[in-house]
Amino acid sequence: MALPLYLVGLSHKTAPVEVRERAALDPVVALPAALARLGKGVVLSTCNRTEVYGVGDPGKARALLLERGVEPRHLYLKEGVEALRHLFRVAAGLDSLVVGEAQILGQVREALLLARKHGATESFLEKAFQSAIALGKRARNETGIGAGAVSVAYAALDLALAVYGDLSGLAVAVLGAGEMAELFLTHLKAHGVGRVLVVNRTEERARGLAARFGGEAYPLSALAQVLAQADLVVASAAAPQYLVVPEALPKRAKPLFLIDIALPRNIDPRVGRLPHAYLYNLDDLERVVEKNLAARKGEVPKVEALVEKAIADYLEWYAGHRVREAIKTLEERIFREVAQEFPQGDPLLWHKEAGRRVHPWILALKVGARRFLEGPPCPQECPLLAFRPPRP
Amino acid sequence: MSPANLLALGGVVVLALGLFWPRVLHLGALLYLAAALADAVAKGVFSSPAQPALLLGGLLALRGESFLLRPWMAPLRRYLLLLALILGLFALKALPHPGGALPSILSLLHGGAFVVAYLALAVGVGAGTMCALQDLRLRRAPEKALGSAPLWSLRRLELGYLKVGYLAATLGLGSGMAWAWGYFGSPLALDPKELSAFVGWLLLTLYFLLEERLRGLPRAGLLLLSYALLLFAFLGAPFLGSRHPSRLIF
Repeated sequence: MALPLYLVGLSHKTAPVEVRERAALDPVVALPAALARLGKGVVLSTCNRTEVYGVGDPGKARALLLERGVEPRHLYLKEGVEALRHLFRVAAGLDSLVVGEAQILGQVREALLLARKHGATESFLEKAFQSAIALGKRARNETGIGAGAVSVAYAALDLALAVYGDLSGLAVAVLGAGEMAELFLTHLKAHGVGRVLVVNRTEERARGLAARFGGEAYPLSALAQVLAQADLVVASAAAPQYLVVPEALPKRAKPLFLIDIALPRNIDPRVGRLPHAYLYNLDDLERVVEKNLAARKGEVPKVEALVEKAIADYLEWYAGHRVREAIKTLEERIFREVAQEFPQGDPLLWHKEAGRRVHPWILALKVGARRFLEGPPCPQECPLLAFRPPRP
Repeated sequence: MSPANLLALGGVVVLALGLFWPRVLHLGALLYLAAALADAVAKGVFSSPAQPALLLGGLLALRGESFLLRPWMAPLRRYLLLLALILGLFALKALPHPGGALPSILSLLHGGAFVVAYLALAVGVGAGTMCALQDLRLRRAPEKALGSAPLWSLRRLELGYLKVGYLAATLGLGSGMAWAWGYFGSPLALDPKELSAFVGWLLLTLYFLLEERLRGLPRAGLLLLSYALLLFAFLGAPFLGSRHPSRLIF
């Protein structure tokens, strides 16, 4: 009567990126085909992991991954409560490359929806994934596991919010039109910045980036004019000397927030000493990220406690489910016996007689369960659920 | 115990509760204002320092309550509430003393101007201190600045309130000096109330003049010192036997 869940998979902890690439299943073709082959199962396929969750025999799932060129040493197989614990830890972000990252929760939800769409879920898997999603939300709401920026771009955004509080309507100037500038602009735009002013040596590239964000393009010669209008400056241009010097910045009452992510730097460090200027470089942003990561790691024990609570809740549901199943089977067996014993009798009376015979068994089950629970705890492995208590 | 005393005592107790249970702040503020009204009816408007203290305390509690929906402003709310509690305790001490008769226009102009000044300065100084500390964090340890109130929100709050507070304090000080000139023959004397109010106002003027150059702890220090002196003129000097009619005779 062990918990029939299994998990076969690989992740960033067991396989290098080229193996993970081979194992990844695209959601349009490969993943539906895999689900059809498995019959019942849920496949979680992300850039950091490919995991197949199922019920019963894990052989098919293992074969599926081995056929994609994955070596057995890269695979892990977990069964019963261990598989459940793994799923819960994944959904809570504890097993992610960046602890507490939020993307995985959406990916777990997508995996369940896709399995549902192809009719590949069943009650144990459905309940396990629903519980995992609820746990993921709870962990993020009740603990700090998802708090704070853990990427340089988000750290810059957090700092801008610490200066301004609200970015809506502010003007942002971008020096350089590279990928980093685009990434920063995407985050800033999502927070409602107003005008976007792109300055680049090649005006055509500036126009391209400005057009994507509904901004204005300027040549490098117009930098002073742009700086006079900007509230936020993101500098990422390839330039051998400082582009922004304190002398070029006009006096102002409002703060000026500057991020210099260029190497060599675009902004003279003396700008940071101006009374209204707040200048940050890559080192500052990385310090913010490190601090947030350390804070997230400090929250791990709280999330582990939530995971164990969620496992207990699942097992309670599972035990009830199995007992209900057993009682239903018993009722059906006794009803058949009564029908065979009194073939000429009134069928309405069969139910009455079957009830009379089965009710003492149900009561005995209740008494037996109570005695079992009041007795000594399972020494190594619970005989009912094949549940090995977690290591202290 | 007079009705004003009872109401003020109730207000202090409720505001103390409000430190832990902010939903009762309204009630505490109303009790303060009712106590001020009861004392004004019994002794005359602004006839003792207890009335402006209660009025100010009530208004500060209401301003603190308005920050409830802005969790970042929680330190400012707690500071305003503590100030309201100190004012309530001062009023409890001052209420039993008999009131002095003053020309009503002077009472309203001088007392009213200082009530507005203290109210605006209390918020402005709190926001200004938080702003100076946030500026320090943003420059020295940006990772520590992320959970605090945004610098620009604090700056706007500080500037708006400090300007109003400074103008009202100037009006209050000017009217007080004009009255002292006519009454005692000199606008300023070696009196603890007059001197502390005057030096506090001078430091506040200095703060506005040096605003561009001051940063971090010196900025917060100057602001707090000027406000502490003004607050001393209101809450401390009456106990030192000032020549001002608000002195408390024991």
